[in-house]
Amino acid sequence: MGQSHATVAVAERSVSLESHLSAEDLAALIDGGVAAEQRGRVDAHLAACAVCRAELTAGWHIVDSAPRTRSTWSPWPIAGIAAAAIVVLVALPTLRGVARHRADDITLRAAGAAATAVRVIAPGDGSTVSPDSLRFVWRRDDGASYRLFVADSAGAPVWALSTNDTTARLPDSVRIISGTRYFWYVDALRSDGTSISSAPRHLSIRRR
Amino acid sequence: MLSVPPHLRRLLETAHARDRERAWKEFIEDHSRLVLHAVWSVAKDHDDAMDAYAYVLEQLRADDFARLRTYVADGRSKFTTWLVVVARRLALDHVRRVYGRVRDVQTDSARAEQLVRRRLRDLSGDDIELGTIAATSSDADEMIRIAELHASLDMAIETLAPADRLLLALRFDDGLSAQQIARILHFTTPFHVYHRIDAVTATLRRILGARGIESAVP
Repeated sequence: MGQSHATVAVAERSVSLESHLSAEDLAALIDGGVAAEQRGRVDAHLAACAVCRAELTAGWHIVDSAPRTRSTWSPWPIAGIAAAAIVVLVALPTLRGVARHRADDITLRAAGAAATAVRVIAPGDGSTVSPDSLRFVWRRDDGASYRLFVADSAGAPVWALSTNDTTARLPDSVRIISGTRYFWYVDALRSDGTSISSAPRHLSIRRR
Repeated sequence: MLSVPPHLRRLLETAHARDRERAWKEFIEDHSRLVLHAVWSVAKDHDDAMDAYAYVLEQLRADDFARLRTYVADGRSKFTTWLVVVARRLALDHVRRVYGRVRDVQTDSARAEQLVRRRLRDLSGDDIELGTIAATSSDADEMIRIAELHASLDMAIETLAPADRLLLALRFDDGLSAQQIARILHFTTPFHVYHRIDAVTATLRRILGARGIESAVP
């Protein structure tokens, strides 16, 4: 932890760098460049160190709101940008198919293997539904109880239901807004204490 | 993999003093707004910001640009992000040297107590006013129970994966919004943050429930 390339920087700081994340680690965190094999170490330190968390939050905010530099240097040559764009356009249908495959929560059932995700039946992901006909349906997981969670597009909770059933309707007391997008998912709590979940899905409410 | 920006390489590799001065001026022109932006995050007012800015540039230049020479283009971050972190740290050092490090032990202690109580309330899922969660008590048994609650919660949190512990710390200790957390931790949407927090707190409730703890009220 706190590896520093600069003895100059270490010597002059009032706080020992050995006890905090290095500037390199913090910059990597802000830019999303921390390698998977280092993530556990970094997260463990951040979880315990309010100082580094504050520095990460402040640094992220500065970068996020920073004016663009005057530098004309681009890390990517134009040809590289064009090549990357072509790759994305070609791969996009495949990527969408993969995403949809996962979003449909296909059960990875093999002989004797338990489902690893709640299989949602309705409403379809991304569908537009009438508020009067909105009904949540999912597949039963033997012996499990369920928790349905509905949130608005900002993630603020709209409704949550604990049930042993595999269908649910929003009660009249829950106000949903026409033309608005919502997210939802289902958790299944199994009798052995483990739980599985559906991937978050979204739906839109049809305008009246 | 990202390489060292050309203007930085020019600054660090040029041998002639005049060329180095020119390269330094170019570097400042390119990055002065960013450095100022970083400095303003810790400065108290305009004069402080200008003093801190001058200090940061002085330190970046010191010892033949020793700090800038520590930048390694390892592909994990952009140079500008690294510069923001370094500039902010230098500015903070400057402010501390000028104003000293202010600590309110009482506030820290009270805040720590508040955070633990808030955690207990949020993790228990009960709709309880913070004021009803005892921080201290004159009743010895209740004090013991409170200490047990704290210890149980800490132990339960320690069983979580580091990423989940970090998520709880950002949400419940630092009070960041799901939107802020989503951007800092690179979640797809704030909703994914809520989803993960929901799953983690459900896990903690099960762990605490298995230990006979069903409520935040001692």
